Amino acid sequence: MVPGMTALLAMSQRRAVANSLLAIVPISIVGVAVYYLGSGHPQVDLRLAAVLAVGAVIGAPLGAAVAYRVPERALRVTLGALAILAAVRLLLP
Amino acid sequence: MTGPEVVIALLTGLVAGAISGALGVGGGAIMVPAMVLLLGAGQETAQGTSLLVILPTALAGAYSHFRRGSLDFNPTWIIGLVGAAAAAGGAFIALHLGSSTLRIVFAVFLVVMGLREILRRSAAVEEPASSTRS
Repeated sequence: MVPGMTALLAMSQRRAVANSLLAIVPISIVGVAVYYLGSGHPQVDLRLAAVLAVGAVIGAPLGAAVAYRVPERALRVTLGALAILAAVRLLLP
Repeated sequence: MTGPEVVIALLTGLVAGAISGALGVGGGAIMVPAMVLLLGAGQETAQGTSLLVILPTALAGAYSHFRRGSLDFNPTWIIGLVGAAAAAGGAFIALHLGSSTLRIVFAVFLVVMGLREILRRSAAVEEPASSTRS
């Protein structure tokens, strides 16, 4: 969403980041509903979600504050490297 | 959940939340692999659970940007609405792929996303101008 917002709607990078977080809200609500109700048994672990959310709610404002101080490039390369490492590990038996 | 699992889940949430708040992504790219690889969750459950966690994460991050005056509700509600319809379709397909196929699809998505993050030219070039303007 962020590249689309900067390219098509001429938003600055930070505005696009802020607005994509807002747009994620209805998207995740619908996604959760389908995962919970869409198959025979709920594919949402409520207890695990609660613990993750505690960490995430603490981390999100920290990350938003960091974004105003650390070069975006460094954050993106870190995220990209983590994602690729995780993918390789997921594909290994 | 055992004690170590609670600690792993808390740390995973913290890292995913920080990345979400910093870059405007949901944090699922961090949480889903962590749940599958470190906490033994199935691929579907990891994805569904990640979507639920993303909800407060995105709200907290959005609020933090809102206080800095960076939110525009006008184009964003349309994006959210269209995105929600697409999410319903995507989640339905994911639930019917089967775990091992879904895991491969998710890993391919992670590689594409990771390469894009690493290789794309930084939009930060425009940042100094916008930050000095106000």
